Parts: sequence; C-alpha cells; structure tokens
Amino acid sequence: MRSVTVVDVLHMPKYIINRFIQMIPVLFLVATIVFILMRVVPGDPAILMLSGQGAISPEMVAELHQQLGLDRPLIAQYLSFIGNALKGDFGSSNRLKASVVRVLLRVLPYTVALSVAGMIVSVVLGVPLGILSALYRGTWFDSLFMVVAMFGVSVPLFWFGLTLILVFSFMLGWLPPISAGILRLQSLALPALTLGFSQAGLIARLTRSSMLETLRQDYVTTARSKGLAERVVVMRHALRNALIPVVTVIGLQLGSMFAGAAVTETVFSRPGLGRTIVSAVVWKDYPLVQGAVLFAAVGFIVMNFLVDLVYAWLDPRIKYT
Amino acid sequence: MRTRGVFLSFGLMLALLLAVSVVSPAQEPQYGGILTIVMDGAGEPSLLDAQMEPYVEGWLISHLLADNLAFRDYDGLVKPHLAKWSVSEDGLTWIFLIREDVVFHDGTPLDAAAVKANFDRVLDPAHPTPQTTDRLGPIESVEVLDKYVLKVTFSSVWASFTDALSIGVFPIWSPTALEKYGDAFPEKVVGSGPFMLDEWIPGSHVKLVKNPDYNWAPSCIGHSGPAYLDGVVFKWVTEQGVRGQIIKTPEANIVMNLPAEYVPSYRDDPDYIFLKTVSPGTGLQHVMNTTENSFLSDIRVRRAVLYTVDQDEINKLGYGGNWLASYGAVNPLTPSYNPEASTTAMYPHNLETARNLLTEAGWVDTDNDGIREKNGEKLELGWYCIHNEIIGEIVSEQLKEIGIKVNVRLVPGPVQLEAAQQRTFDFMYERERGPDIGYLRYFWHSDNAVPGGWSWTGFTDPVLDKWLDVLRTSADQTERFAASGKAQRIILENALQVPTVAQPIFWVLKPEVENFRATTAGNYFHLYDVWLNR
Repeated sequence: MRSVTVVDVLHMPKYIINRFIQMIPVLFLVATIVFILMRVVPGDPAILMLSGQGAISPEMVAELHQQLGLDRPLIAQYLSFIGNALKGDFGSSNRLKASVVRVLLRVLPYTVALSVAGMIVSVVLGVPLGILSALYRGTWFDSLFMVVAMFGVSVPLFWFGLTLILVFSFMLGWLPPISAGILRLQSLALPALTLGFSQAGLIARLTRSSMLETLRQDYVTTARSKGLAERVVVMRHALRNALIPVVTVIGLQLGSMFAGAAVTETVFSRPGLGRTIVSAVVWKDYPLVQGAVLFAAVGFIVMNFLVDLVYAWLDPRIKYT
Repeated sequence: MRTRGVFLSFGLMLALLLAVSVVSPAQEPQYGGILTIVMDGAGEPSLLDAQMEPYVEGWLISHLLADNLAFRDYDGLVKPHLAKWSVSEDGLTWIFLIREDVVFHDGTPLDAAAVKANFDRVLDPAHPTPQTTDRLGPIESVEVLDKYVLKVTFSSVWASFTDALSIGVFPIWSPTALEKYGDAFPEKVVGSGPFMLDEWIPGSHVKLVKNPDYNWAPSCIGHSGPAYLDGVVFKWVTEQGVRGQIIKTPEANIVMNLPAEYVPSYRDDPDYIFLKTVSPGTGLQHVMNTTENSFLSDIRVRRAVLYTVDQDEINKLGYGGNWLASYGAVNPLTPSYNPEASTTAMYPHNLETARNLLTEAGWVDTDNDGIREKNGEKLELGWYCIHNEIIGEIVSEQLKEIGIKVNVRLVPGPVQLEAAQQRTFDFMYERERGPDIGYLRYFWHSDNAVPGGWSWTGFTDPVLDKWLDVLRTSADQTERFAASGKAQRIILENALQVPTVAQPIFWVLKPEVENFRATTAGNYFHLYDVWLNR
C-alpha cells in the first residue's frame, strides 16, 4: 500500500486551486441556464403572487414588477443576478418574503444530514452485498442478493418509505413516522434507509461487477499463488481497485441527493433542499430557484472534488497535478 | 315566507351540526402540556402573517398569535374583542373604542395608533395584500381621534366589514415589530394573542408557546388569564397514509383533515374521539369556462353536463357517502341556501335530455368511438383540480355516458391560478368556506372578472351583479338571504358551475384532549380554552 507522499502534498494546493478554477465556468453555466429556464417557462411571478387573493389592477402588477425588478430588460436582470450572486446575495424569496440565503441555510442542515445518512446506509448495505455476490458468483446466494439489489433500484421511493413507516412506526412503534430533527438518529433512520436502500442496489450491482473484473486480474492471481489467505487477497489487493468506479458513483449519488431527495422529504414531512426547489419552481419564485439550484450545484461539485481526493488514496497511480 | 322558513330551518340545522365539541364539564381544567396538531402538508402556509397569506391555514395560526378587533364565537356570532364599535346611520362611518389593557408580545401597548398602523399596512398600494384589502372593503380613510378611539370611513357601505374583522385575514400586529422587522416581519410575527411564536421550520412544524401575560380573552370564551396549554405544535404531513394513522403514535394529539378512507377506523373506536364538521360554503364546485376558449361557451353543453353529473353518486363512490352532496352554488348547510336553485330542482338527472342538448348543439358521434365531434373536433374537456381528483374521475365516467371525454388534470395551486387567469380551462376547481355569504360576490360579480379576481367563468350579468351588490351593501340578514337565493338561481340557470360535494373536516383526537371545539367559521378552532387531561 502506498501512502501519500510529500510530493503529493506539495501538489495538493495547486490541484485544489485548479479544481476551484474549473468550478467557476460550471457554476456560471448553471446560473445562466437556470436564469434562462425560469424566464422561458410561461407565467408571470407577479400575477401569481397576487392571484387568488382578489382583483388585481394593472397598476398593482406594474408596482410589483418594479419591486421585483422584473420591469428591467432581461440582460439587466441577468447581470444583477450574477453580480449579486458573486457577492453571495441571491435576493429575497418572492413567496416566503425572506432572504434566499437564510431560507437555504435553514434547510441545508436537514439536506446534508439526510444525504450523508442515506449514503452511509447505501455504502454499508451495497458494498458488502456486492463483494459477497462477486465472491459467491453463480450461487443461490448471489442470485438472492442481486434480486434484493434489483428490488432496491426499481422500487418507488414513496412506496418503500410508506412501507417502512407502516412497519416500523405504526405496527412496531419503534420509530417516528415523521422526521423533524436534523441529526436525531430516531428521526433520520427511516428516511435514510428509504433513500439509501435504492442507492444501495446500484452500488451493490456496481461493486459486484467491478469486483468480478478485478478478481480476474493477473496481480490477484499472483497474490493467490503466493499463498495469501483469500480474505487478504480480497480485502487488500482486489477491493481497493474494485472500489474506484464505485466511489465515482457514490460521489455522483451524494451530489444528486442534495437536490433530489424531494420524494423522501415529502413522505417523511422533512424539510430539505429538494422540496424547497420543487415548491419554488411551482411558484415561479425566481430568486429562490436560482439560489437553490446554485447551492445544489456547489454541493455536487464539492462532492465530486472529494471523490477525486479519495481516488488517490485508493489508487497510487493517480496523482494530483 | 316559505323560503325564509327554509332558510331558518337550514340555519338551525347548521348550528346543530356544527356544534361539535369535546367538553368534560365535570372536570377541573388542568394547566400545562404541549398540544400537537397534525395538519395536511398540502395546506402548509408560506407565511404566518395572515394579512399577507392567502390561505386559511395561515390565518388559523395567525389567529392564535394575534387578536382581531372582532371575534366570531362558537355559534358564529361576531362579538367585540380588541375594540367595540358603533356605525353611523348611513353605514359609512365606524367608530372603534380600543381596549386599553392589551399589550403585544414585545411589550408594545395596544392603542388606536397601533390599529391604524395595521390598516395603513394593508391599504398601502405598495404592499401586496389584495385579499385583506378586498375583504376590508372600500375604506376611504382611517383616523386616530383619540389615544383609544379610531374612525374608519367608507366610500360606500360595506356589510361584510365585521366578518373581515373577525376572521383571520386582519390580525392586529405590533406596530413596533412591523417597523423593526420590515420585510422580515412575516417570519417574526408579533401579536397580542394567547400564544407566541417560538419556532417555525417550514416544511416541518410551527411551535407556539403560551403568552403568560394574556388576560384579554373574549368574554364569550368563559375563561380568562393565560391559556391552559403551555404550547401548541402544528406539524405538516402531506402523505395521507401517514396522516391517517399518526394519531396512534406519540406524534399527535389531534389530526385535522383525517383522510376519508380512515373514517371507519376511528368513527366507532372508543380509544379515540372522532369529530366531523361541515362548513357553510360553496362545496367543491367546478366553475365552467363560458368564453370562446372552451366548448362550454355553448350553454346547451353546460346544461347537458348538469343533467348528467350525479352528486349523490360522487359522494357514494368517492367518499363512501361520508361527505355532503352539494347541488347548487352553495352547499345545503349554508344559511340562505335556495333549494329551488339546485340541480335536483332545475336539472334532474336525465341522460336523454343531456344527449338531446348536445345533439342540438351540433355535437354528434360520427365515428362511433363514443366521443361526440363537431367541425372535426372531439368534445374533450379539461377538469382542473388541485386535490380530490377522484371527483373528476367519477364525473369523467358520468359524462362518458353522453359522449363527452373529460381529462382530469391534477395540478399545483399556482398552475390552477394561471389557467384560471388565462381562461385556458374547461372546468376549474374553486371553493370558499365561511359563515358570511358575501363570498358569492368574489366568484360571480363582474368586478371580480378581472386578472387576479375570483370570477373565472367569463360570465357577467348586470342582474346577477345587482343581487350580489346587496350582499355588499345590506346588513339586513333577510334581505341578504333573499338576494343570495336570487343570485344562486341565476348561477344555476346559466349553468355556470358543476356542484359536486362539500368536504367535511374529519378530526380524530386522543381522549386526553379536553374542551376542543370547531367553530362555524370555516375550519377554525380556538385553542385558548383547550386543555390536556394528563
């Protein structure tokens, strides 16, 4: 096993700087796309804010357009958005009448906690399941595990969540059916299991195929021929290499969980970034959608960055340059 | 007089049906405990400031945090609360005598200037609170005459003023807090109510704590001093399956809006208290688009729909008969309901008549696929709803019988509002619940057939406006009820809406909840005198 060398450490800051520089065009592109998409969707946020409350005069709409800055040319709106975003100011939510940053910071701890807990569940379930399936390839054990993995990938999240609630909350009374706390284990258990189980299926299948391929490599045969115990061959020689594609997927999944846990959040009545984005899109809350999507994009990029760092630990051939 | 007799008996029936409560008079109330109420997450308010929040769930919470100038008691009667008032003979000038012993949660004393600050806020054109502004009526000016005396002047008579003062839309907030927090106020709401805001996590819950200094409850409540409860938590649960069973866990003391399919599980269960309340109002009606954007612009098609839709069948198939079939512009429990302006009286179920009307209108099934055509276009209609799509599905089956295809579109509220504004719908869900029949104006008066208004059909009629104007200007109940009955008749004659069912609110409570009462004012409740028997 190769440890991280002084040369690697010296290269790290440069690598990190490079990665951060790469983030800028990505975030710029995301910001531009979300800005355009929200304007392309038909409907006037001002009319929507006033609708269903009483008669609206054109003057009221004009007044609100002015308040929201929607009376300005699109390019001016865009430049303001980008300029303010660079300063960390995403404005105020049209609907919630609160600073977008404050709204997002309020839900972010819930999202991070659920995403991380869900990922822990998926790794703890998926990786061992994949390894065992590979080691016992072609046996009933392998078939059973892969059926479970397929079930995890294909089962609808809302159905699985509701089933867990039925069993663990209403039948056994062990866990609460709604998830109010940020880090309370009891509160996190069922949503994390719901979110993690579907990802575990994917990870298990990927781990299995990657492991099978690695076990066929010459260096594994060499290790075995040296008389090493099978456990050592698998854990020390095969697993690390087999995990590289799995780690990539874990990183991507964790990133997508940041904004993609809306169904789980809804089933368990849990606040989160996913629900916030869905609701903001429905209400055409431009500032909130723009801010939330950028938050999610940053989360996604940071996750990928962390994954890249893990690569080097797993594979000595990868260097930070 | 016969009609009036009918109105009175319906009013009596309403009072009897709505007097739903859980009272244990033999026991001494206990102080302490946190009451947890689970509510439908679909109704979660965006803001707790009811002057700005357009939906009733927001008003409900506001109403515990702040007091109003008037109070609607359990029998639906409007009583003075933060103020007493007198009205000039012409009905245009109102003088309010403000209570002198009320203090907001931030220590600011209540006076006429504080009340004026609230009026100024909602009347400010730069401050978008159109619903509150609309409900408060054509106010011309608000003046402070003395420290505790306020004068409100109207440009024309506004009979629904006390109703607006008594329901959630006009809580009196602390002027100091309004000034201090500015745009952030809706997150910090500071009133003078029996409870204070402690924590609000959107998407999860709202936590209120007792106001220990509260000592100005309305006299009709029969309890003074602080509330019995230490606090109240509202939790928002969207999933019906969870809401239906959560009362079995420690997470809830009360579930409001129990899904109908769970009613049989609790109705006769001695371990729980089951309540059913029905509010006066429109029922879940679907208004019909009479503009050229819709095939429903032809009154014969609209009438064919009314001859076909069977409200009793909707209730039976969709809700096991547990809801209330609604046959007109208001549901049968609404005071002033006119049974002669109902589908049962005017459009008795008759498929043959319906088919003939469609044929007469030129809609014929030429290709024998079961759907009628005209000028190469199929008779397909869109049924927009934001919940209870089962009604659309049943109506779809019913209208198939006469060759109309209905596409049910379950959409979020904002999409509904947009389609309504743009008149791109055929049938559109619209409902209002409340004790004041004045809401008929919102739905049917030509003044509201403008962008943002509630009148969505595109139909306007000066005679209808005339009767609806009576609801605005007359405080005489008999005159109002008669005008309401006439308006209902015109609405049905022109086949402007499809009445379906009225939705009761089903409640399930744990037995330790004492003195809980739902009021006649929509789905309101007061928690000030509720206590937990621990």
